[in-house]
Amino acid sequence: MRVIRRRLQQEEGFVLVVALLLVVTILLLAAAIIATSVATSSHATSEYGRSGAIAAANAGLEAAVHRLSSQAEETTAQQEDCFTTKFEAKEGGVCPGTSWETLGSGAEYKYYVSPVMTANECAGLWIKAPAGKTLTQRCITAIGKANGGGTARVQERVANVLGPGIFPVAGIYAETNFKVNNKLNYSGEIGARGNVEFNNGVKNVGKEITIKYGGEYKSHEGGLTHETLSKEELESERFKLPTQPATGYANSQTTNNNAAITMTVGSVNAGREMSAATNTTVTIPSGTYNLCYIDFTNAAKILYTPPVTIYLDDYHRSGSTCASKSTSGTIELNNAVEWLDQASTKSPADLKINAWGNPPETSNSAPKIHLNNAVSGPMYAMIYAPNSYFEVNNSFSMVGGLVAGSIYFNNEVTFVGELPASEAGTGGLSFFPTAYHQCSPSTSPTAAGCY
Amino acid sequence: MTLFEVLMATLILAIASSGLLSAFDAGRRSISYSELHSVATQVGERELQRVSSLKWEQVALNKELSWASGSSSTTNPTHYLSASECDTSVTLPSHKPCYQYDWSSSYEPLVLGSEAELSSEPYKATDPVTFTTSAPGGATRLSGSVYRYITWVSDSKCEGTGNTCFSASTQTNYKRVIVAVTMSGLQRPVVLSTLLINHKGEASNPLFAGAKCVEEGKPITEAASVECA
Repeated sequence: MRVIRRRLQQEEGFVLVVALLLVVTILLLAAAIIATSVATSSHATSEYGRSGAIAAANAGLEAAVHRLSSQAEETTAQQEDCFTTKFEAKEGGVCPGTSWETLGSGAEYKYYVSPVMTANECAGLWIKAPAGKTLTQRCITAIGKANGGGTARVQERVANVLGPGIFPVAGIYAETNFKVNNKLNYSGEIGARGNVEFNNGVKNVGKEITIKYGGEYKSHEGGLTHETLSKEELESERFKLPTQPATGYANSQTTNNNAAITMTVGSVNAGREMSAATNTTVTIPSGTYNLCYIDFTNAAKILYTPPVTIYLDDYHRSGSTCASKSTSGTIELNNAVEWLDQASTKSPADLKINAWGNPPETSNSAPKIHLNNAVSGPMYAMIYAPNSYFEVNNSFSMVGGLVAGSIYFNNEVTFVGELPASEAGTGGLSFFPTAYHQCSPSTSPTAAGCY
Repeated sequence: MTLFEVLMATLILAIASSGLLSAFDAGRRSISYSELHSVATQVGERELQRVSSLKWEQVALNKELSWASGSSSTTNPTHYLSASECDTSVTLPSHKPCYQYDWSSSYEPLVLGSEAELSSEPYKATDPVTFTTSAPGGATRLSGSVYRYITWVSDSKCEGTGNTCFSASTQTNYKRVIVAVTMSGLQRPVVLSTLLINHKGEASNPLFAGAKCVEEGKPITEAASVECA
């Protein structure tokens, strides 16, 4: 004790003790600095990972919507299925996900797509269909992973509006057969419940030509994308034989704008037959018209201001006042007839021609829409004539959609198949995102609130 | 207090101080690098969101610019450009020039558009786009470059019957957007990428049937009065 007391009194070694205390302080400071820089670096890395993971998860949503929209959600079975890259049943009560897919830059994504929802189990609010339409809703959950260990999970509600669009494809559709003898310049979709036959010269002038048919497919052209419609698809809402609603015909028979049509030559007579022999200019203002027969021969110009809806009535319709004769419910355009859409921005919806025909007849013995030579414009129109025979003899150009019982093009037809989305009756081809949510980045597909 | 003690204490403090200075320097460098990384990430994320919000036709690169490989360095984003054709086995709107989107082995054709199509894309005339960040006094603090590459996606897993997976149409295929940010001092660029599809919705979305839009150029507070187009 005496030695320690003496040492303390002499203060020997005190400098070393102070120095060691300073060293400890310095080391603590250094450790704090290192810890701060490590935390900052880790934060920067995780921020990079988080950004990359969200971008990857968003890519997963886009891939899912794209792939889903390229399938046709036609049947009840498909609506009850989940979706990966094709429709698949649930496994153990849970939708299967895709495998991880590389996005590049070290990022990956996978996704889960629910069946058509019957309860509100997804981001956002339940979507109510616009008036007169029905829609289906699916829920997509995508997970993204990126460099630095970032994981993100996002969810999107997508809605697909169904009907009552009456055009099964955005282009030409025949309830029985579609035959082309020579030179079809085409863009878009083609469909037929029966056979599709191309004898010569089908040329793509825009969107890829895709063909669906229930019977046989014959073509001299190779390389066209074509597929058979299954029995189930032929019976689906989209492709089945339609039953035409008579309401539009009945209403327009009594209340129409027929009196507003002006013609430099020819007239619309009391029997609602519009005809002119030669060199006429017909002006059709926007409105709804009901006619029993349309006949133009030689050099007619038809100027229409949208929207124009023409009901081509037929005495075969119960309640129709069209005269019972062979021209009833037919169109005869004979030579150099130009359909001139007066809209500055033209659309197939500018002119809608509905022809009653003779249900349930769909063959070439049905009432005829006959375009004989040089019918041009191009005609921006949607022609719905499932119980009429549509025949073109030479040189016809049109943009829009055509449905007819049987269709025959003899020569030189240019047709751009397209429809406004609001008019398409296709199922499953247009899924629209309606809500988006970033979830907890759990990797469980059934994480609460994010499935 | 002896001379020896003082010398020993001085030595210990000198060693400790040098360690502290090293730690300070390493910490400063690490924090500076983290700042670079953070800024690059935020600039990349901002650019990705900006491109994603463009109209479909404007999500493209200016075909008047050169899209040839410009560097032998594997950390330079232009290294992965190629003038050769790619993805010729599938139908896509174009097949060259191409970009190696994964910086490894897979090429996809670039989405190119005319200056007219890119009319309202502010960065159509430049590649890469340079950027700077400012210190509180206004002086330039950091600078870097943003490279954007947009490709037509060659998605072998898309197997739809609607044939929108691969087509010559510029409307139905989907696009990959790759944003690479380089900064002086950053060892490797920050690379972010995502996919974009042409949402057929927008004005033609049947859910919006009957909706009115505000005329282009007018404030959104103004009453919507025109047809959406």
